[in-house]
Amino acid sequence: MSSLPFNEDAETNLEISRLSKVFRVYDSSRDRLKQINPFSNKTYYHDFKVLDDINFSVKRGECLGIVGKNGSGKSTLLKIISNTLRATEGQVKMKGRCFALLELGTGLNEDLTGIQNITHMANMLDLDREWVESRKDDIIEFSGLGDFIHRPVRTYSSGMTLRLSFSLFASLDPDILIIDEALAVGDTSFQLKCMRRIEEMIYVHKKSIILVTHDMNALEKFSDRVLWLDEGKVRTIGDASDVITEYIMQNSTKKKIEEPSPPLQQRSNIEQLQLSETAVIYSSDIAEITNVRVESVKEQQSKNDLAGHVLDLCVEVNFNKLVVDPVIGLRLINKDGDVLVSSNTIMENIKLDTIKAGSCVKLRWPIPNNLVSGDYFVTCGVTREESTDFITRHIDAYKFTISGQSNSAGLLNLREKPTVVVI
Amino acid sequence: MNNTYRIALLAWQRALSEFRSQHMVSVLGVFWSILTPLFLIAIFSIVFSQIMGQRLPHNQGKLSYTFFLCAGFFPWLAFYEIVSNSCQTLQRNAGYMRKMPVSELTFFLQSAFSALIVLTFSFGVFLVIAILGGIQPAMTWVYIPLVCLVMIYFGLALGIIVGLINVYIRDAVMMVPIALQLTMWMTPIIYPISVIPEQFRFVSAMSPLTPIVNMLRDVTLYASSPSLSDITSTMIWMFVLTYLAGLTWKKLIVHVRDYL
Repeated sequence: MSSLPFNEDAETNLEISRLSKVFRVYDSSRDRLKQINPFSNKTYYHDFKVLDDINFSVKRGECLGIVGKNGSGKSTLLKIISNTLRATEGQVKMKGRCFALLELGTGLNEDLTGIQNITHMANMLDLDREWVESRKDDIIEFSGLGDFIHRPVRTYSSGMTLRLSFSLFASLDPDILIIDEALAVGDTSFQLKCMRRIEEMIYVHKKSIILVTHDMNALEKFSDRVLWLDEGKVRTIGDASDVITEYIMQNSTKKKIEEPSPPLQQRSNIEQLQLSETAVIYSSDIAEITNVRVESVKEQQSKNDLAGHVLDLCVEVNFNKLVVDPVIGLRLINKDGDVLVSSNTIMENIKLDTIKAGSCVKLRWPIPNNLVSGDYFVTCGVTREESTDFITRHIDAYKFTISGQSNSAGLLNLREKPTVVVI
Repeated sequence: MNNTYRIALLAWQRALSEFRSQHMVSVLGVFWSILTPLFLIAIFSIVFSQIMGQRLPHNQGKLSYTFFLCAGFFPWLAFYEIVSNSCQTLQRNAGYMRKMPVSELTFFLQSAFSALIVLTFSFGVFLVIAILGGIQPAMTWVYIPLVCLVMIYFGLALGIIVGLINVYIRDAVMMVPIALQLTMWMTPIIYPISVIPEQFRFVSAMSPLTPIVNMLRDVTLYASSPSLSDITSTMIWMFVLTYLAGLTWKKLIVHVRDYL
């Protein structure tokens, strides 16, 4: 936690010091009336401390992620930073302007058209009028709403409403941008556009960003540091992947095993994966992942070396207790942390129903092997359909290598040669 | 100061766009702002002048009572709109306040500006009808905007008080209509003060609107400047209401957003 003197560090855009927020909670509305009585010194409310002594700072061009369970005070913190809620104690020091994208779409006036709403929002946010006029075309183009921009917002679909408000905020020129659960906007192509805009803000324009999302992949991708808020207190703040891993660990069952699962006998084209040194294992007595392997259809060239056209990712899970609606998930990342595959049985519409104690579930997941050569890490986990807590999870636990030469940079190996015609 | 100006500007823009969007959806559009007071005046004339034959003691003109009524009733309507709107305006606009750093004052001012727009139309229509009905335009008419603004200001101050209290104690929204009814009948709006027996006139003096309504009638209908006693009591009320609104603001604004 840094507590730098604000003026001496030109790189600091935002500094939060000793910030606390206390809500007064009354049991009944009658108690509120009693509280007003000027002749009584008795208090009729309980203090509910939502934020307790929060300290952190955000540098220029830095993206700070915030994680925490529901009710940990994330939204309250963001509201105080964006000046929509007053802090009980402490200070928020800020350089430049701060805009917050909190629960998109709710600030729009349904009766006004898209264009009128842009002006209206700009007024609400106290933006310079001429500046907004000059950016209007940009905003409209970014939103991709076309002629709908001239129609009242109440005729918009929910996706279009989100597009409009994101476009406005994305076109703003803030020094600090706060984004709360707003990354999943509209269809995928628009989402990509949003991602690009955020990347541009961070990397090119060196804006400070505070990002709150439950999408751990996005968080890991954008954030330099992550702050973990737990019951209104800063639990940890530090390197993004460390904090995220720790956070996920906390949400899983807490028995940690150190021993890797026993290896099975190896066949020629089957790669029984060993636990890698990066592995973080959470397990419980409910179920355990006993075997993870990669099978390639083609003959492998050497141990730990796979270059086939199709890879089968196989997972075996032993259930020691009865579990209703378990979900088995897999994630594949490369050595840079880019997520290549992330899916689970629900997303693939496979329902496992009730698994009895003593059963073993074997999952085989064929994935086309267009990957460029390099090291890859497999994460697998078991959770329940109705909860986010993991029964067991092996994070980045298994490593395999794709060998051979890749002609292309990036994530995918283009096997076909390009054809070039000069006319 | 600059900040207050920006808040006022935003409130004015919101009031204007609210006014526009209300009229945009109707076929007759902005004409309704003229038609509504016109119909009201017509109803007053038919009921009071034709059917009930209501006359003022010192003025025997046929429409005298209608004009007397309008001079007090339209500004009262503006006052009524502001207070009853302000009562729940923070709850209604909680969506904005949760998302954007907008001052609470914006929404109170917006109610005031909206009422001002409506009053401008209705009083304008009334003045035109009054001229057609035989009232001579007088130099004292220059006081009309000023007195109307004072009425709006009173509405704003009371609106802030009830609006803030209502965040904490939701019973305010139930009490306000009753209190407003009481105020209307305490103030000589429907009836001239002369019909009240002497010993009950102190009740009228307890309404902050009485001196304003008196002044409006003086300057509009009787071409006389506001009386010193009316100006004095208006000033006193202004001071009291400003103080109370300021006090309520200071005490209650801290936690308002926590309860929205």
